Amino acid sequence: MAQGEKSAVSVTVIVPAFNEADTLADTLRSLAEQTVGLAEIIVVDDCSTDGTADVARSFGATVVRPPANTGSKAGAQSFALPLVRTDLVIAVDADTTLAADAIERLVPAFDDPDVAAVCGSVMPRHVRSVWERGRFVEYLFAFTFYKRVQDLYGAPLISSGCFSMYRTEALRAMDGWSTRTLAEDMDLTWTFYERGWRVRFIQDAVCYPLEPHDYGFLRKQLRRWSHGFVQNVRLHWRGLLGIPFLRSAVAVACWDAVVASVVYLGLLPLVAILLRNSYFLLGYVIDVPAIVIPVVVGAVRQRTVVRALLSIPSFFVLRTVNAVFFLEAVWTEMVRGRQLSTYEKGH
Amino acid sequence: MTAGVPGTGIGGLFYMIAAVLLPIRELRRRIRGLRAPWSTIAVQVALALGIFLGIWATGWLLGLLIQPAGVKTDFGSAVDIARRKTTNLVRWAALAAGFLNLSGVLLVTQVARLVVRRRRKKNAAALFLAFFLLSLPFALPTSGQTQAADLLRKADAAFKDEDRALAERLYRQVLALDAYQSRAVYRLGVLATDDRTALSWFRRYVELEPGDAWGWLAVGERLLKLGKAVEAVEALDRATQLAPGAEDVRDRSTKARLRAAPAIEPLLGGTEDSDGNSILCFGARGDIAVRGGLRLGGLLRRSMIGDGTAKAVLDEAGILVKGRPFQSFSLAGTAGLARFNAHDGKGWTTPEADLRLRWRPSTTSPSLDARLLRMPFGNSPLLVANRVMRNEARLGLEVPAGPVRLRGTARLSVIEAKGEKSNRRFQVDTSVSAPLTPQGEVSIQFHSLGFSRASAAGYFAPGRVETLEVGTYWSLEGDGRLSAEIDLGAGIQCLAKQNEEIGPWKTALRGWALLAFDLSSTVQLRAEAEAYSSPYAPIGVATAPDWKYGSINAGLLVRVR
Repeated sequence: MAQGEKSAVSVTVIVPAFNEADTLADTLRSLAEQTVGLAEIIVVDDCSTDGTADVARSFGATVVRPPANTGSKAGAQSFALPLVRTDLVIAVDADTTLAADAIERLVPAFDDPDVAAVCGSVMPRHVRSVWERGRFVEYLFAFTFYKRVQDLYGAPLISSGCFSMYRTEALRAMDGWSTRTLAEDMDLTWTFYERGWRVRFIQDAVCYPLEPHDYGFLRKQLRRWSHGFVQNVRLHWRGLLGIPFLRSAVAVACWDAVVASVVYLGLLPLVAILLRNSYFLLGYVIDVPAIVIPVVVGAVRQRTVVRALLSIPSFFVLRTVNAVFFLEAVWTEMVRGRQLSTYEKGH
Repeated sequence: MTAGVPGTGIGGLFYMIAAVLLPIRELRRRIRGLRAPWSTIAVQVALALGIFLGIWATGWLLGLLIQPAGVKTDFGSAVDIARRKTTNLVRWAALAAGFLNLSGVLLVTQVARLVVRRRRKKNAAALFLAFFLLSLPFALPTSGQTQAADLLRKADAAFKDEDRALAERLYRQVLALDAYQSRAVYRLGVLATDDRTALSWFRRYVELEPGDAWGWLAVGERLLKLGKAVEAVEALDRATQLAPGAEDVRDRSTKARLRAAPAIEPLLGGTEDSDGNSILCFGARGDIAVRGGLRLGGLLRRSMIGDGTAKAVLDEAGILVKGRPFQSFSLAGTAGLARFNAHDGKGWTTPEADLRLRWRPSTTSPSLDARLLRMPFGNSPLLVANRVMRNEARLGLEVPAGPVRLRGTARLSVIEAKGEKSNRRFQVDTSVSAPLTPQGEVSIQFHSLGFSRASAAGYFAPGRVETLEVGTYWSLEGDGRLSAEIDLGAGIQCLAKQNEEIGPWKTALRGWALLAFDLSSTVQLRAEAEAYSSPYAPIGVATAPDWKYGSINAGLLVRVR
């Protein structure tokens, strides 16, 4: 793709796409508008039937098509990896757009030769439905507070699959993205740590995926995320124990995913009913300040304070639904021993 | 994606503490020549402190809310003091609960780390660090890449050259560097010399590669070999889903389903001895596979006993359990009731049981056998009429010693009979066996037994019996339809009746065989034959000296699909 007079960086972008004709154009446009020139954009048309490849070609991207649908985003991305000729490679979802300077902000992190992956902040592209609003608050909270602390301790929990840059050599050493779990980005991130690589988070490099606008989309996404998390914990727990901070962060996340969810969904209403004291229901909002303060700080940076404050009730709705899906995943994967293996779209 | 439920639980507390500790960590990093902007750290610390103050204020507000209502709260009054105590209690209780939870989770994580990683690398300093949970965040991740890929290539080459020892060593080295190298894990499963070890490798493999049908096939095959048919069916179903067209997967799945299927076996048998006693036995047993490598079932059997003049009936009903619930532990047992119906028409019901436990960590290590039983002596109408029961405890040890195996067993029995005191029977068996092939062995055996006193209940109770014999055992099982087990012994035996001198050595012969013939994939004909010709047969009971005994039992095992 021609990048005019922009300073060029040795970066290839892989965009996996399966029937993404409606959203791919925005993604490719945002890539074209980057402040740095890209070596190549490879769109993996994973046997789409809606003209995805035509859209990609109209933006000058290289289009590759596997002989059969790979069945997952990881499979499609790995299909393109052998074609990458640059030192750095970016994976961008076909429903995700990037801030114009997003890629430029990621590149310097690779000056450290031990860094294998760098990710940026994620913000919903649209903030309209209750689910998008909930996700907006969740991201403001997580990327303002949690993820920055993780980065300062040298262990971001995950290099987001919707937008991350990788050292090609490191990625190839892992045989690309694995399909063994439903959360290939978490699997890859934790494998990097286990093999001695570093992962970084750059807050100012922002991407904008499409978040769930309805419950059907949300359900697919939460099922994949929650099952993927449990699968990765089962897969990596031994290795994680050797990684300072990350082991504690994951243990705490597991605890919250199970115990806090049980308290949230069962214990609080049960105690309130048994003791006939509605004050116990205040437990649902007792951590409001813990949420509001980082969210407001993050929103100030983006000048979206009013929208953030109005969206906070949606976050509590999303959190309740999230708890249900996590408990279901823990029950299915850990207790019943049944692994969810069907990949459903949703970044 | 995010993990957990953000903001809920102890996650917030964990990150607050981590943020507050950032300046200390940064000072330490700067000593090492690393640095992060102070401004970034300051923002995170400020956020953490802001959250802390927010939670504190929330606790205070909630305390106000839940104070006793409708009470006038003049400043300085006792009620006001109580209210302030309530608000303080809420704040402190919330914080204490959070800290306790968090400390518990971090402590468990550290203990798990010490337990799991100590196997790889013993690090005394780690024990010290375990007591300083909150110092964890200061530590830096390790860096540098491994040489796993090079080692893997060498291991693959050794595997291809069938240098199994070298391949195994190299694959283990690969895993020491990269615990998630799935090919190394799979190959170690292939190289394992016993099914249990192989299964553990293959299970690890399918954790790493859950989409590989052949990994699940390997798991299923090993589970099947270890007798865990139900689990094997589940693994092979998974393989079938992943590779629906693969013939070998389908074949193994069918085989596993057969093994897991309920089985019914009608029984028919008869015995004759040199005393003129005969038994006609018929009944049925059935069982079904359950999880954990066990089969549960039941048994109904009637033995019609005669000696030419008198007749008796022995009815038995019980439950059966057998299998290998753990890798090195197997069990087989029955428990139920036996009813004696003597020729005089009098009946008597008593419990009976037979429990056998075996612990064998591996084929090359010592093994222990323990057996407890309570069984009726039902060889003659007289024994049935006298309600003779054997209660026995047996303990055996087998020790490999170079090319041979040493076995020793001690048995103590208490024989109960109507109208006389209990009789004790003590037996010691020792043997040295040498495997000829994986299927067969020869042995030299010495048996010594004796009863504490004579009996008039219908069984022969010598004071001492000694037997020296050469034995051989073969287990012939192949891919064909016929399988067999044979146990033969020939030697000399001498015995002393109660309060008499020991007699001369006489010939002692014994034989036992079990044949199984697959009539079809679901029906198996089984026949068991046993014979003794010796002064005293060292089985449960002999009714007279110089006893000869023969029995044959047949069963038709039908697996119900």
